[in-house]
Amino acid sequence: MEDPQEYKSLDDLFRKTFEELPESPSPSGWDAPSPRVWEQVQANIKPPKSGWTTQSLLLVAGMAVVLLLGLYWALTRPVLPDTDVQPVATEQPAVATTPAMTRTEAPVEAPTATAVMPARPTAPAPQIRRPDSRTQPTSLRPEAEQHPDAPGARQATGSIPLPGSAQAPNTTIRRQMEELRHAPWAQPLAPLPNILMILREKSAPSLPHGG
Amino acid sequence: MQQLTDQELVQGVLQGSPTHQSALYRQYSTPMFRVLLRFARDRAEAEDMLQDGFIRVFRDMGQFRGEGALGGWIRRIMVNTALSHLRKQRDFLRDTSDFSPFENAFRTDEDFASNMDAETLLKYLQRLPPGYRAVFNLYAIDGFSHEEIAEQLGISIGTSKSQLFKAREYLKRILDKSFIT
Repeated sequence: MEDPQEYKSLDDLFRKTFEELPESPSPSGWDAPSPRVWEQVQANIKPPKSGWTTQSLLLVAGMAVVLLLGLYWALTRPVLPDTDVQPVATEQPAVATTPAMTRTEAPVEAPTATAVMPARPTAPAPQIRRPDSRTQPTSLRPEAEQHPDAPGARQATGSIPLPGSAQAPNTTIRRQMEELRHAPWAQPLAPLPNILMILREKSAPSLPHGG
Repeated sequence: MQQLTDQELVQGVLQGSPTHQSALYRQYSTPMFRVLLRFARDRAEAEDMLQDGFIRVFRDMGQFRGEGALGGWIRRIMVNTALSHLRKQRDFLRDTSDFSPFENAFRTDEDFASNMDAETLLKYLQRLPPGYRAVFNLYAIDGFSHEEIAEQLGISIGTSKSQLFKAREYLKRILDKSFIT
């Protein structure tokens, strides 16, 4: 719909009056903003302060603390040893050639033969070998093999630590070994009393001495 | 001082040069202030609009592609800033059926004794209700269509036409009265 002529004239009056103003501000100053406006604009467009701010310092300090804690944890964390798989592997040739293989079933037979085997404690520990010790779990090995401080064990396995070398730290496996070492079933059985001898000693005085 | 080109101003502002920022403000503050005075109800409100507008100009200078004149780009930002200010007013587009320009205290002997210069016309404009003033400015002076005005102000096209009609009627009556006087 076309605007009426009177409205067109009104629109033209306002448009021309405001669009055809000179570039320079009016001498009366009605079209010049106050200096306060530029000051406010400047304050809002200032670039951020250079240098270290409090927030950035706190951020860097926090990151340094986290880094140090991580480093401390990494250095003090118990290192898992290579376990004792390698020492076991080194004794493979000795196992294959040892003549003590005949005693491998001795622990199984021991409970049934205790009455006639008083000499078990005297059996030298280093001679106890198993043909499958390479694959057998550590917990099933005889005490003499598991204890690293036992001289017999070291001689048997051949894994004598080098002089001056530090012992492995107290790792989980080492703790398990310690627990297994002190388990009741892992302790060597005490020799049973020789019942025959006791019976004989008891029965001896009651027998009449025939002459 | 030699006036810098638009390209030089844009490059300097993008590099954060205070000299170029000040030059850009000096070059465009007066024409933009004139635009904003038409939308504002008084000088103080126009200065608030100008401040917000220039902050947006400096902040968004990176978005200026140089496809048109820098002045046109800045003017669009200023008009949008003015409309944002108007939309925040509670009485924007209020029912002004009881509005009578002659009952307002703007009519002084000095006003009507002067010629129809920009300052006087501005005073007439500023006495209009915000909705009337915005629609009249956008349609009659800035060349927007009713569809564009409706979209800019969030009103219907019918409301835009109605506000324009009422604004014209009031202005016509004021001007008739002033000429008669």
